[in-house]
Amino acid sequence: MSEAHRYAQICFSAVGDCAMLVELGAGIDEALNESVLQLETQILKLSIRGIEETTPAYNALMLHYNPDVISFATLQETVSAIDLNHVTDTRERFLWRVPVCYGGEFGEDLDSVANYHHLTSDEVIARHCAPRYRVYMIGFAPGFTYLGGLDKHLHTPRRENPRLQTPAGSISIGGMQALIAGVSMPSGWQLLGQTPIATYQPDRDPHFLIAPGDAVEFHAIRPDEFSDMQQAAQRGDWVAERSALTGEPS
Amino acid sequence: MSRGLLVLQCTPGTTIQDLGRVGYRRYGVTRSGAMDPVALQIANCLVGNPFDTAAIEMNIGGADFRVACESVRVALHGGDFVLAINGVRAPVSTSLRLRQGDIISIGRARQRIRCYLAIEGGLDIEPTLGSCATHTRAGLGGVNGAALETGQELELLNTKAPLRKEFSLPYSAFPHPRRQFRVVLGPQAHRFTEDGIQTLLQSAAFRIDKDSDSVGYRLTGNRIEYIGDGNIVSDPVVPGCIQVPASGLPLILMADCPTTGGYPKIATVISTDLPDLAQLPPGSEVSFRAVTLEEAQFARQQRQQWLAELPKQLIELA
Repeated sequence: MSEAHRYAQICFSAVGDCAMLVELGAGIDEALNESVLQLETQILKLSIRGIEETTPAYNALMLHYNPDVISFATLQETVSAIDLNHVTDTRERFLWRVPVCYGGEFGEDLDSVANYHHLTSDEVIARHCAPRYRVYMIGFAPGFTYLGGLDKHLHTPRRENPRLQTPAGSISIGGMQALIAGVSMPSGWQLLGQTPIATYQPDRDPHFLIAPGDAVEFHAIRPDEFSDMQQAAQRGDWVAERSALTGEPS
Repeated sequence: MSRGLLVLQCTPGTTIQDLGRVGYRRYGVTRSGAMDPVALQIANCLVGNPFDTAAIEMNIGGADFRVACESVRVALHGGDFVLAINGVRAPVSTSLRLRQGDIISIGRARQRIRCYLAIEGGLDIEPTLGSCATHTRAGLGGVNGAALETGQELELLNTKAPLRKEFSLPYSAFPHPRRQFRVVLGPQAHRFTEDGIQTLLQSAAFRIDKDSDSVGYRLTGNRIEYIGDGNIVSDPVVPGCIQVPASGLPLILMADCPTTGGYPKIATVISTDLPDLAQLPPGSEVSFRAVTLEEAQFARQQRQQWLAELPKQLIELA
């Protein structure tokens, strides 16, 4: 993939007849992702008639619209008129402390990831717990939280043979990215551990805990702590600790 | 006293679907909903339901049900399924009032493989995130987020169907099935060579692979040539998007597709044509034709209009 960069001009493309892709740049970059979220915030603030929902991702935002209510051209004009240089950040942001039970049956690839990097398993855990990650995107499947900021000594290619099923709460890495899985899914990423928290819980208010633009820190827990916490999460407790995040996540 | 419909047997993948969930894609929740939303709406119209009422979606293999409540009004509409009531062939695309103990048997389809059993008043199901659509991969919607199973009883909101005239959809009103699907090129058509785009648009270039489901239709045929390494940073996708992974063989995203994807998208099947594509079984030949966004939106508008006028098209049976 090429170096992350911002386009000189926002690129608007039709995705079929009811969606518009608004691309701000290419690659994975914090400032770029921040602009995507700011743009989304401004669009939501405008309450533009005809926009049904928005999907922010790493460097692009999708607008799902009803063409009976608003035309592609009008929508493009409205979005183009938003000046991203003069917006105040009104998004509420949080830092989440996420418990993880590493290795063994919880993270089957921990040892092979350690071998791959000539590290001990404990060193992999320490390096995975050290950074404050930025949440770039919730995508793919419910509550799948894509994180940037993985220690470059842990960048690991995806598995040659994807697993057909990985549990909800899987904590994995793939390339330069780190992930918290919201539900059970097939995955080719390297499994380091599992968190008892549910990023998505249909019976809880709110259904989803973590949002794009939030920050995440991991800490290691023991298997006995895991089961207590998992039961609490199933009852609807958050389990993860949350604190307000002020200023830009670093 | 029992309150609903008993599932006597059903093919795996028989699910409850409506028009899908809106508003949660930003949390990774796909829209889901009926593979053929037009057929679902027709079935609902026949029993006098709001068009977005949840119904039972069947794929290829049918299902058998027993009426366990006092009476019920149903209509089956969709692919070429054969319907029998108590072993006697009954009309599809027609509302039918059935009584307790009656057995609904839906046979196998061959050419067009999705059908919907709509029930007057609808199923008694609590929506999840604003919809009853089942998304089995994420365990969402329907009954406990799962497909229907033999022996399961579905609760209904109306357990007594009033006596009234029945309705049928005239054959002339059936949407015309198509094999050539209209697409709007993009959003990443620039990541493909001119030859690559021509390969997509050649007539009869592809077949639907057996490894296809409600998440995506894999196509076999000529490989599409792309520029670069064939990967992009994950960006949002919608049903209809034609992704081209490194193999060069396209994958069309369907109703249950993920909200984001990391493969370039050469084109997107227009919303008007996607329900017809969803009707085709593996092995079917398909081809694509590029249209402008204006043409795509005009087609959508006409379809919306057709649906709005649908109640007037129905024939009242004596």
